[in-house]
Amino acid sequence: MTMLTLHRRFQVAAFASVFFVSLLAIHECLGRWGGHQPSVSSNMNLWALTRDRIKSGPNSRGQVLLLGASRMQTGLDPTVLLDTLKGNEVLMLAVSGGNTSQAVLRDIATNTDFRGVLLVDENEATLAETNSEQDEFVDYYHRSFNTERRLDRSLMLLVEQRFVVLSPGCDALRLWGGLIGRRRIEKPLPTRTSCDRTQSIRFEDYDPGTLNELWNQRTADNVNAVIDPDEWLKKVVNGWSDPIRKLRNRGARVVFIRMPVPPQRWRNEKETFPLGRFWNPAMEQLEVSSIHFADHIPLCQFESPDASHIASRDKSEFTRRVCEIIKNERLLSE
Amino acid sequence: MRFDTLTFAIFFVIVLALYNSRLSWAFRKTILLAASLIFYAAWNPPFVLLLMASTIGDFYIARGIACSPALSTRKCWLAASLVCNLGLLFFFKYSGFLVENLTGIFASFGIICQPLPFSIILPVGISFYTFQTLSYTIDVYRGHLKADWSLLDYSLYVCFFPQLVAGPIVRSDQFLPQTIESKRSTIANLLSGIGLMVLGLFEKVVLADGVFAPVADGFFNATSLPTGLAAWSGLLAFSGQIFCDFAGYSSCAIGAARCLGFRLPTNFWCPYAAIGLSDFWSRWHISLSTWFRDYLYIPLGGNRSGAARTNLNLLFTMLVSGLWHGAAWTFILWGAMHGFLLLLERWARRVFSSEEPKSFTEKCPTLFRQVAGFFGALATFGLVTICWLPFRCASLESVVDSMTAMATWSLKLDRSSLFSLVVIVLLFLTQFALRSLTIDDLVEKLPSPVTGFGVALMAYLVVTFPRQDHSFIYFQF
Repeated sequence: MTMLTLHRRFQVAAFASVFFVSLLAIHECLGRWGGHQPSVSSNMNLWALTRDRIKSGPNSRGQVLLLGASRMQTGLDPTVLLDTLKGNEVLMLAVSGGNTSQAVLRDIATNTDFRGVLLVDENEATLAETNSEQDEFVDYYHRSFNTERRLDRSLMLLVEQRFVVLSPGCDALRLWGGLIGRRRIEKPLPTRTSCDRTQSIRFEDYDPGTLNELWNQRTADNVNAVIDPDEWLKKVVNGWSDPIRKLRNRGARVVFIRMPVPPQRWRNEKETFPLGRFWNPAMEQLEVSSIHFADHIPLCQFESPDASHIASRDKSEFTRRVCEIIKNERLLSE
Repeated sequence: MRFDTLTFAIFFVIVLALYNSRLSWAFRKTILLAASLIFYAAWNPPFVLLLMASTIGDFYIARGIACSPALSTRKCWLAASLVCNLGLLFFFKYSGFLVENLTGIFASFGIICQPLPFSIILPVGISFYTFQTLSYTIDVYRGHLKADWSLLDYSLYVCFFPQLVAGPIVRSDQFLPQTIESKRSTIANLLSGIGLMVLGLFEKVVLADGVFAPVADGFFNATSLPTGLAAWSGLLAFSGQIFCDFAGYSSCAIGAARCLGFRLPTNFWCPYAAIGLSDFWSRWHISLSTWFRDYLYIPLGGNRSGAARTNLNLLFTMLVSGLWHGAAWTFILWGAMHGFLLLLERWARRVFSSEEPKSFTEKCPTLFRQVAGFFGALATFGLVTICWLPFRCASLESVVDSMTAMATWSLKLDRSSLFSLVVIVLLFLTQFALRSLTIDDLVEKLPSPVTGFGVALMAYLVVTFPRQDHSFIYFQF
């Protein structure tokens, strides 16, 4: 190799380094200026990393596992739960958009010796589901989550928490697409994920049209659906009773939580799923404690602009009220 | 371990630091070997034992060949190597396929068999390292190579981590001589190696995973297939995805090896700008096509035994090449399609070269030749893309379904499909413009700030592009 070539390579490397650092710095500054904050990617690896932390035997008694879907991921505050339930660790295993968490509960019952507390967010529709996206998460954990992925996700987590350039809502496509196409920095995504997998929703970052559409769509749900309660109950018992019994037999405590929805939506849902014919008999047959928001006025006092989730500002208060109910009704007593 | 992870970046920095320490060359080669085994173990630690067994077995078989004066004994040793290597490959890769097809054949004769359900995990990279070890024993058998290398050097040749999992399939005579003299990471090698790795990561993370994969998956994994232009854009996106995914891996592998002072052979050279299928195969997965040429096509007789035999040899080689990619009829169909197209091209060349004297093309104006070349490349790209259809489809039925969807008239196209179409057009034009240039030529020609900005932009996009967790496609082979 000639000296000229080496000199040229040095030049290219120097220019490349300067440009690269500058591009990253511009991206970071533009992102922060546009209101973005570091947020981690909520993917299967992060879920698997959390799943990894489930303890076994008596050591797991202080752990609280949160199962369910997006309402659980956005609705409960782990810090408040820890303070009030006197646990030592809260693990968020809910999967946003993942529907029923039956696969996760079955996995914990079968593949661990967990003996702590499980708070499970389900509704009448998801209780009777047999398959969901969460099956894929469990399958991924057991088949594909190897040492490399474990290590890589842990390392990425450290970096993602610090830099906006790595946030899902502030990628190059979105940032430059917004700047070039609309001459503005795109707003942060309304949902932000923390490294403990909890999510917070800032409804003020939603496009009002989208929010309105979501509201209309969700409040119109299930109006004409007719479901046979006996069939439904059979499905629920078949799916849930075995893993719950297994967990209970070794000392774990399971509490089902029906997270609140606004009155306009509940009006429709309770027509399809009257409490007395669906939720209550199911909980009785499964012999588990449960909290249904409709039975507790304090849980119905939160706004839900998208007709499904509570805003992040209400999360702590909502969690406190759930904990009060758990304490007052002694739902975790052995 | 994958090149596109933070874990690999840290691993590579540690390996570079240890490799460039003041230890002896033998000790530093041992460090490289240990690093390679750790790299491989990151997927499935038990399979390291299989890799080591295959390596040690072939090393001693080659010694046996070299030490035996009698041809019959040498043949026995070679047969042992072929049986062991191909047997392992067959067991892990093809036994399920064979059982499934035999069950089907018996069932068609009314004999119902219910084989016990078994699921065999395919050791990652087995097709690649098996071909490397085979090439060593065959070369020793042919007398092209001596078998006096140390076990350490030979193990490093087989297990060298940049190329272990998905190639390039390095020949022993290309790699082993490089283990003789002590080497270190020079500044020039580090700079060009890192540049190649950035290019490879850009191809993989940004183009293959970010731009093409969502559109290709949207077509091939859809429950109700998109039709017309959307279907074609799905297929074209897969064409882009498989190139960027595999060429990206090869660039990273060559770059990582170069950082350590080793030279690996080029594996891709603007394949979508090829004019004709034979030109395509001299530019696509070069290390595999030359392997099949040297160890299968030529031993079968190559083109020395008449036209009919040549055609048969070519077709057989392409069928085996299809089967090498995976145990499914779709891969065999892909190989057969390429085989028939190569035969067609040979026939066309024979017919037209006899009718049109060579001076005709030479007399044509340069512009005409360039335009003809452009359309020739475009036609070749179109044919290669159509051949990717069975390669990507899960079954022969879905090949038919996809073809039906593509034959349906519809001009609907979403934004991401349109974007991927634009990118694939740009990819084709870039490859056509650079078809006779190497990366080094390009770097020499462009002004340093332009090249520097290009590298920086690629690295920036690798970091900031929306991340998708896609494994390299060729890991499954």
